[in-house]
Order: sequence, then structure tokens, then C-alpha cells
Amino acid sequence: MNQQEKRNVRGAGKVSIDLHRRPNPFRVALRDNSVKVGLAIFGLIVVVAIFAPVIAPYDPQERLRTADGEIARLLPPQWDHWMGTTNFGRDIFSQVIVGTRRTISVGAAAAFMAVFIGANVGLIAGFRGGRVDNLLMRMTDAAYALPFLPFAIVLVGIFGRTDLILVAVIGLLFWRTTARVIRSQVLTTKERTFVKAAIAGGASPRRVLYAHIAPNVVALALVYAMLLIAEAVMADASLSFLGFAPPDSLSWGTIMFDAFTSQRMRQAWWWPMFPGLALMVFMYSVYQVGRGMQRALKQMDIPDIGASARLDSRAPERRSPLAGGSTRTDHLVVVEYLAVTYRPRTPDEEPVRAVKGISLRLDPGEMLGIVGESGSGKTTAVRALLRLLPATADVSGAIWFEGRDLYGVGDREMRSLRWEHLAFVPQSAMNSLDPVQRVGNQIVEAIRVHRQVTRRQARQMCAAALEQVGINPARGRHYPHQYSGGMRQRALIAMAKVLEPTLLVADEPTTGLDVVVQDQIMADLDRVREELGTAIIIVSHDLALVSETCSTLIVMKDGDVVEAGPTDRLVTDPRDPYTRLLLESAHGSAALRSPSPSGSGPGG
Amino acid sequence: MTPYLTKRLGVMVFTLWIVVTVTFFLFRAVPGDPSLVLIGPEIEASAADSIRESFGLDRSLGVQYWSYLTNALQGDLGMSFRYRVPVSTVLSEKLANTAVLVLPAMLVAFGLGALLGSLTASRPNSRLDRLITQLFLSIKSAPSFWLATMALVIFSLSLGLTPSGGMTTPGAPRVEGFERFFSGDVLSHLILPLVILAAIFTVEPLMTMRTSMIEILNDDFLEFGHAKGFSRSRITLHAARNSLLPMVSLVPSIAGHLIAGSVIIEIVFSWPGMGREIVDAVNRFDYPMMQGTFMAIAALAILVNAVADIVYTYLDPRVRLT
Repeated sequence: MNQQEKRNVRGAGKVSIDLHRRPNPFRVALRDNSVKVGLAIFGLIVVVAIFAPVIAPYDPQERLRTADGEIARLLPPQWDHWMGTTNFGRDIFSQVIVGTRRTISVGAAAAFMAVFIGANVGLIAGFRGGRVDNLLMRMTDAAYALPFLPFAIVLVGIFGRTDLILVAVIGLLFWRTTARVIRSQVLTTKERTFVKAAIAGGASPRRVLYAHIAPNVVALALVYAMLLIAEAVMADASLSFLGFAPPDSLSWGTIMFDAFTSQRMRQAWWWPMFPGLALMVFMYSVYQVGRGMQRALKQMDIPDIGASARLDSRAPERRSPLAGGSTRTDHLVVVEYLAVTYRPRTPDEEPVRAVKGISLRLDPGEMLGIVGESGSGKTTAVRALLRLLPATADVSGAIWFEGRDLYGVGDREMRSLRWEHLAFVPQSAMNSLDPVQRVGNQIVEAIRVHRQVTRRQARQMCAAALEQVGINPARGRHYPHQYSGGMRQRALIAMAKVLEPTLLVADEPTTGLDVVVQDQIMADLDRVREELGTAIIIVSHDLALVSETCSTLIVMKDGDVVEAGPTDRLVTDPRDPYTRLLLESAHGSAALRSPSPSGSGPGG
Repeated sequence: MTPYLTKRLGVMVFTLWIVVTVTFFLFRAVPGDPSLVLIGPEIEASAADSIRESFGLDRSLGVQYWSYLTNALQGDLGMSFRYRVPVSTVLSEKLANTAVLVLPAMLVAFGLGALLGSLTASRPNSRLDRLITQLFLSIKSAPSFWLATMALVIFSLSLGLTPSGGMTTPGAPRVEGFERFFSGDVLSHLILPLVILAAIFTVEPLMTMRTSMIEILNDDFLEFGHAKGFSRSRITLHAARNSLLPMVSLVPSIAGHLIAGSVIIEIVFSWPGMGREIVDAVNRFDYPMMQGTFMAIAALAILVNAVADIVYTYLDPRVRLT
């Protein structure tokens, strides 16, 4: 199934997204339970910060005394002081409560400063482009190169320990991530129609930027503000822990600094423990909210969430109309009432019946073309035949290959069947080759997985196979990105034929290639059939192309077979109106394709 | 390759120059008499004048900048107020101490991250996957200084399993040179800070490996691997090879975080490295030391960045020719 079809299947029943009125990301994020929990904790902490003096049972700086008049030094957690007391007899619970104020206000102020700088840099860089963009991004890169904590320590060391310096230092060092993210968002937003319309309408650049682009970037900026609050609070706490907070301030970090420098941690484990726990709970809540909003934004951009598509080896229900096994073993491939349904992944989606019960037969050395528009189920059908469907697909019917029930063999046997008997030329040649391995090595690997041959022998087999599809064997040393589209496709054919399989399935082998290369590919496939007696199934939307080489054709529409038969009969005497329609459009393009000197291809 | 290499090294030198220049002007922006910054506060006026002259502080800013630049190039970073020896001498020792802590932590973080990342990615949402990711995500949301402090409180102060800080036991025979890092005493001091540092920094590689493995396992070429009859482990291996690319691009940011993290860890465990030195220098107003340590740390981060970029081009052939 190709990407387009995947989209169609998954997107079925979904509302298309209009950027002008995109769903509110905050509302989407709020459906997530972890976001609700995070937001509740975050809200609670903010409330505590506001009403801290009321909530705290003691004055955090007061030196408390026990009943017998002693200073209440290092009391372990107990009813009156359930987080214990410090060296100086101060109540740690009250300190943590009141410390919330400075912790959060410094963090939030620094985060908003960082987002403000970052969003503006990102907006301007993305919008202006060119030299301005280049300069601003270089600056961002340089900012990345500076290790945060040492730089902050030096700045505080030079300019002094005040809250203002702390906020400025954290804000100045944390804008870089926001700048990058906002910039790339602006780059995509800039291309949207309504922005172009505003520019065409004569709006000033400033107006376009702040009235049309900025609102679309605000949601993203807020997500980063949220995540940055966590980072900024952590940065401030780290600096405070190192002793760089202003002398009389009280925050979770300074409580830990006091604990650490007291040399009393051996007795008083509770002293550093509780402020750290408070910090952890805070970080957790902010991360939950920030991540939830990130997820929500991502979901709105891309309709499919990308479930893991693992292969399923469950046997289909077998309800075969053929009596006995005789007929099945007479043919290379027998498909009976094959139906594939994609299960919905969310409750509000409908199951999609991609293939609705098709049957076919194939003999050795035969070339079969399956033709249909995208969404007709042709790709799903051959993927079922290759046992390459995702786990969300329910397969029913029966598939017999070389006399075996293909869905009855175990995984190990299936693996040994693949390539030796059952080879596949996938649709996306670019994405099917491993980008970081040399093409020749990939072919050699496929050989050596299945055959006990030396590396040398495998190399020779690979070179021969490449040569047969017209690729200079020396180019086996190259990487896929150094190949043209046609060469990649031909390399895949070389890889598929190298073990002389009995069946080769090619899924849209010529899509996106120009006419001359299309003909070469088809000739390559035909030569494989002639030389090795391999049966070939070609899936294509191009009836004209397929009818030139295939002896049998199947026309599919909406998951059903519309018409099937020998090519000659089907082309000269189509019985179904849909086949006739396809033929008519194919004749149009066929007229274009054969003698055309211009070389322009038929409509893809 | 070669043009790329020259270009990347050029960028590296340029960034270094920016950092050195920024540092120069930063330290002359100190409130008060800037010359005090370089000479030290507790010196008589007449002596201060002669030192000022010998430092060239009476000359113009341009001349000062030039001599500062040429001196820095030769590794001359001035004298430390506190130690009364050249900054570079102190730094080379501190740098080695930090490297002993940070490099193994980095190796462990990436090794363990790659391993656990591919393990969890091969069975997403399984019980093992959830256990591992939750464990490391909670380590990530814990403040590093808190984790380190609590580890110190539990393992050395309460249980007495490891030494309570420093690099050697006071009074133990001192081993000189490189061999000192392999003495049992140093290793026993190293173990706890190393474990904490590694645990904190495993999170990013782990999550990156996991995400990119899951993505790549859905890629066409791995599905094609199934079609070729490759075993699951062979396909996982291919995915892992391709996931190494995002891992390498993670190195610079991790290196930056590691340097920052090592400041905290070195403070908590009294490890005599660069991170502890920079905090000490600030607390003692040892400006030449501050300046030198900061420049050394920044140079290190920039160098790691450049190396990571160059390694990336070796791993990803697509970048190589462009």
C-alpha cells in the first residue's frame, strides 16, 4: 500500500484541516489524561505560590524552639514539622512552601524572556530569509556552542548575584531552541495561500508578519514557553544550588544549597530530600503538559499518527470453494476470495474494506498485469500475496503458492521462501534501498542470507545481475543517492532476479520515470521472464504500458475485480464500461508515448 | 571530503575566535576598575601600577586585545591569583580529572542508550519498554544535583559503601602521572559520580534511538527487508545502523549537557575537575582562572561539535559529497 493510499484509508471519515480555523490545540491537548493531571499539579503549585504565607505553618526564617526552650535543630520529620527542621531550627515545610514563590517567578520570567527573544528571532529569520536569516541562524548556532552552566556561572560571577541578572542570563541563553522551531514553522506558514493573498493584497511586510503569520505560530511558541519554564526553573535551581542566588533569597535550590553546605547531611537526609522532591513534581507536571501540547500540535499537522506496522502471520479463515488440493497444485499461484479489511485504529473510524474477495491464477512464466486507479486495492492485493500487510489488516480467503498454503507456513519457512521463490520489486525505489549501504553490498547481502556462497561468488552473481539490467557492475560500489531514479529501479530488479525466483511481484515499477526508462524497465522484466521462466505480476495504473508486455490483465476498481482475461481479448473487446474508460484514456496516452520525439511522458 | 573538512574546521576556528573575543570584552565589562580583574585586589598601589604596566593594561584596548589573542594562542592564559601559578598549568591537571569522569560517562550513556533504545524499539509498548522508558524519564525530571546529593547521602554518608567525595583518600600515597587514574583508590572515588552522571545522560540517547528505530522500522527499506526474507535480528541491525545517524547528531548537545552536568557532579562529590574549578574561581574572584576555565570549556564544546559533524559525514554517505 503506498503512502497516498494509506492516507486515504486512515483519513477516511476525518475532517480535512483548514489552517484558517484549525482546531484549538489546547482543547485537543486537554483530552489527554496526562495533560489534565499535569495541569492540575501545575495549577496547585501556582496556587501554593500565591497563598504561600497563609499556607506555611511557620515563618520560614524563624528559629524555632522546642518545648524545653532549646533551638529545634535537625528534627527529623514528625507531626509538627513533617519535613523536619534545619540546622538553625527552621521548618523545612514552610521553607519549601514559601520557596515556591521565587522558584516559579524567576523561572517563568526567564522563560517568557527566552520565548520572546526566540520567537522574534525565529519570526524575522523565517520571514525575511536570505542574508538576515543566515546571520540570525549563525548566531543561534554560536549560542548552541556555548555550554550553558559554565557560561551562566561566569556571567553571574562578573555581573553579581541578583535576580535580574539570573533572569537575564537564563533568558539570554535559552532562546535558541525556540528560535529554530519558530523559524521552520514560519517557513511553512509563509507558503500558505492566505499569507500569499495578504502579500498580493499589498499588506506591509510588518503587517503580514505580525497579523498573518505570528498568530499561526503562537500555539507553538506557547508550547515552548511551557517546556522552557521547566528548563528555566531547573537552571535557576542549579545556579541556586551552586550558591549563585542572591544572598537572602529563598527557593528550593537555596534550601538545598544550605543543606549541602551545612555538612550535616549525614544526620539530616530530610533536609536536601524534600525541596528536591518538590522540584521533581513540578518538572513532571510541566513536562506532561508541554509534551501533551506538542503531541496535539503534531496530530493536527499530520492526520495519521503512525502506528507501528508489524507483520502479521495469522492464518486467514479458510473457506475455499475448490474441492481437494488438485487444482491448487496445478498452478504456481492460486488466490481464492482474497479479502482484506483494515481495522479502524480509533473508535470513530470505520473499517476499510480494501480488497473485497478477488480470485486469480498464475502459471510459471506468465506475466500478469493488475491495473487500477490508486485506491482500487491492487497494491493491497499483492501485498497480501507477499504477506507484507500491516497488523491492522484482516486477511481472509486462501492463497496457494507452489502448492503450499502461503498463510499456513511458519515464519522461518516463509523467510526462506522469500527471494529464493518469491521476490518483490517495491514501489518506492528510493526508500527501499538502505541509504547508508553500497548498492552492491545490499545485493550481496540478499544473496548470502539465502545461499551458502562465498563473498566472492556473491559479488560475481551481483555483478552479473547488474550487467543484465544495463548497470555497469563497477557502480555497485556506489550509494543509492548516487543513482538516478531509473537506475535504482533497475538495481532493485537486479536484486530481485539474482536468486532466480519463481514469482516476481513488481509494484508500480515505472511510476515517476520518463518514457524511455519506463520501456527499459519493462524490457528488463520481460527478459527476466524469458530467461528464467519467472512468473511476473506487475501492478500499475498505466493500462497502455502493461498491455504491451503482459499476457493477462486484471482490472480492479474499489477493491473488486471489474474484468479479467487475456490481454488481446480485453484490449480489443472490453466488456465492462470501466475497462473501456481506462482504455480510452490509455489510447490517448499511448498515442502520445510511442513515436513522440519530445519525450514527455504520459500523465502520471 | 577534503573541502568539507576544511570548511568545517574553518567554522570551528571562527567560532573559537568569537568565544575568545566575547570573553575578552566580557571580562573588561566587570563593574569597577577593570585592571583589578587581572591583577588581583590585595596589592599595593605602586606595585599594582608596575604590574599593570607589565600586563600592558595601560595601553589601548586594541593593543591589549592583540596581545591577549596571541598569548591565548600560545596557551598563556595569565597567572591564577589563588594558586600563584600559570592558569594553563592548573587547567591541564583539572582537564585530565574531568576527562576521567566525563568520557567514560559519555561512553556508557551512548552504549547503554543505544542498547536499551533498540531493545525497547523492537517491542514498543511492551511491559519492558514501559518500565525502561518510565525509569529513565523519571531520572530526567529529577534535578541532577538532587539525584547526586541523595546518592551521596545514601551510599556514602549512610551506608558508607563509597568514599564521601574527592578523588583520593587524604593521606594515601600519591601516585603521579597518568597511572594515578588507575589506582584502586581513585577508582573507588570515581564509581559513584560516574554512575550518576551516566544515568542522567543515558536518557537522551535512549529516547533518540528508540524513536528513530521505531520510525526506521516502518520505513520502506526495512519492510523490503522482510520481503527479502531477512530475519528480525538482521533487520533490527540495519535499523540500528541507520539510527546511529541521529545518535551522532546528538553528541554535541549531550557533550554540552555533560560539561554542565559535570559542574554539578564535581561540586557534589568534591571532584577536582574543571567544573568545580570554575565555581571556586568565581567564589574567590580569581578572574584569570575564571576566564581560562571558561575558555577551555567552551573550546572543548566547540571541538566536540566539530568532531561530531565530521564523524557524521563518514556515517552518512549522503552528506559526504554535498
